[in-house]
Amino acid sequence: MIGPVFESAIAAARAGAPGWLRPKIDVAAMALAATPIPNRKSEHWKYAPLTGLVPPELEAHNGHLDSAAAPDLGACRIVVTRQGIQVNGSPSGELPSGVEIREFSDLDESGAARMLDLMGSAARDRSGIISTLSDATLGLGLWIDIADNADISAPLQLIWQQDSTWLSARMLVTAGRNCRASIIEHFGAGSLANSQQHSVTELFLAAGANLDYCRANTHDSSHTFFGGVFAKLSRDSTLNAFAYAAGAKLCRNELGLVFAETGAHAELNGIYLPAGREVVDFHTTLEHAAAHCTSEETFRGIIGDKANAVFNGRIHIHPDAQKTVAQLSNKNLLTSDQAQVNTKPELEIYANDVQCAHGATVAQINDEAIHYCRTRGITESVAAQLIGIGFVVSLFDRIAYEPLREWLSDQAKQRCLTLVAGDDNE
Amino acid sequence: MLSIKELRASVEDKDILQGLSLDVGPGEVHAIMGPNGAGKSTLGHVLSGRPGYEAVSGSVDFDGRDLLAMETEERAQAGLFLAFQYPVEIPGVSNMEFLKAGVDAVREANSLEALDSVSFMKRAREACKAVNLSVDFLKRGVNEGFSGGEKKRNELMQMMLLEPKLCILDETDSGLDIDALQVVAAGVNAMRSADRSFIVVTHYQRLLDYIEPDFVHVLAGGRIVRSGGKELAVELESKGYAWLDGAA
Repeated sequence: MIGPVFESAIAAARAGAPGWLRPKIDVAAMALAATPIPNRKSEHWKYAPLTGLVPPELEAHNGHLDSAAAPDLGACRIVVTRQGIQVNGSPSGELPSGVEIREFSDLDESGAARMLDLMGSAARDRSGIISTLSDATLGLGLWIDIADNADISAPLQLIWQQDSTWLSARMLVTAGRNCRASIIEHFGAGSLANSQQHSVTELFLAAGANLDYCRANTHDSSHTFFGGVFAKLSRDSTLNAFAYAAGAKLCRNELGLVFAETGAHAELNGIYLPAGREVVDFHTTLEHAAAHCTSEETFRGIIGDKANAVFNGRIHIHPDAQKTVAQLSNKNLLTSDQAQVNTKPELEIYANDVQCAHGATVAQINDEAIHYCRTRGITESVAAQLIGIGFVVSLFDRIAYEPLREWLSDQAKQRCLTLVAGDDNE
Repeated sequence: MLSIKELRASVEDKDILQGLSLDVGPGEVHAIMGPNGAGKSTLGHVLSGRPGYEAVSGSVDFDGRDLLAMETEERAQAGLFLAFQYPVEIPGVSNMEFLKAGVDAVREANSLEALDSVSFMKRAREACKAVNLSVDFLKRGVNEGFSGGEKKRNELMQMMLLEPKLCILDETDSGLDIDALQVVAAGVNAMRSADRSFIVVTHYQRLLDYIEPDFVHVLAGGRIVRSGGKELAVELESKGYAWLDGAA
């Protein structure tokens, strides 16, 4: 059962949680106590089972500041700690006009009621384990409220303060009508070795809202990460989401979008670059529940050494979702004979007037292209890096905010070097 | 510059080059002609170090160095350039990035300071102009969606930027219309100099009307069976290769 593995995390969550949250923690804890650890026979976990899961260590490492390692993107930096939030390095730092941020521990009755109402209401992960685990272990909780018509130019960059090898973060974003905003969440860099991180983010886009969201996972091979990003799109809203996962012992992200009202549009792009013996798993679900919505989903991965990548992309078009246009593409490049990818697009269509396309490819680095580069004086490793980055680079163009685009493509370039050089220790 | 002695090479266990010898001096232009399957392209691949093209015996001296012992990129850095008969497409990698990586690598290997982006860009634009390619091609993926003629001109542009000592043009004229052929020839002629040599591999005498060779060689059965001046090319054009059978 999963429950006992996270016993101490659940106890800590219960001890630290505000009163209104405790019943939710208890219910989730009971569910976990009865949930077996997913193994290779579990449909949604079979390529990245949790059988090796170890209990997290909650002991605080004083003085460890995870925030220091977060990249400087010229964004509005929001560091979330147990003692409150800091904006641009100060507890009294000013938020952009139209943005309000509250920690769960700091909510009044109506705020608490709003959170309880919203939590888990956008979507849950397919097996329910990620969402339930988040409910049961919730350590740091945050509500970001963006006012109607607010136009926030600099992105909000969320940095979760982690003082032990364990983090369970939960964030809800309510994006008001016709607002425009951008949010960046970055996990991994600077974390202590053997860290386990858990993060669920729920995005609620009101009518006409336009939200950019980026989740960047830059872990090392000792980290374990489970995450979910779930979004509910109201009428004519637009979500532009980007997920980047360099690699980890296990990095599992589940992205679930619900097109709840007509005219909504979402772009969902992702890049994964596992090396060594790392495992990256993306499960995405697009629920087209309303008519005239469009979605465009593109994931690309480069997998090296003995790494394993999983991509499962589901598109579910409900009977009422006529005139839906949904596109899904997943392309993979393997840089070693022992690298693995399990890709599976899943389409379930119950409406008869829709356009839906999907495709998945797996390829290896083209030897001829490498040779061609070498005849121009370029070494094999630089050539492979060029070709690798060429494989994913077009996706970075879909990131509107330039410093983020530059930072992520630099990360990917570095990563491509590792991916093509191979791991001699393996 | 280049001295090939008794070179034997095989591809997939098939002997293609069977004791080929050729000396190319500085500033010389050598044309290599010959029937299909004679080993013309194989020569270019062996000299450039393409995997699968194994030199079995013989020697190749390039500027005093043992060419066959060098890695592909070292050959390029030492000044050997092969213009491909079939240039390779590399999707997503911009031509600009590709060229810069090549030029940087070659300059670094020769202890030259790296070019800053501005001067590199200037040179790249000039090279584009010289081969009549729009500068937009610098932003596009390497050879990605280029027409046959554009690919060949792109090869020539790379040659101009890399400033090699020895240029091997592998059937660069094939698939070119007469205008493109003239552009390519003009580019090559502009690059001719006292210390830069060319090996021009071609099927047709046509190219040699524009790029005037110092020597013409006939490659047949994996060996040079006949050498002469440019008049040999004319003779081949009128008589074909069949009359050489006796000589081979």
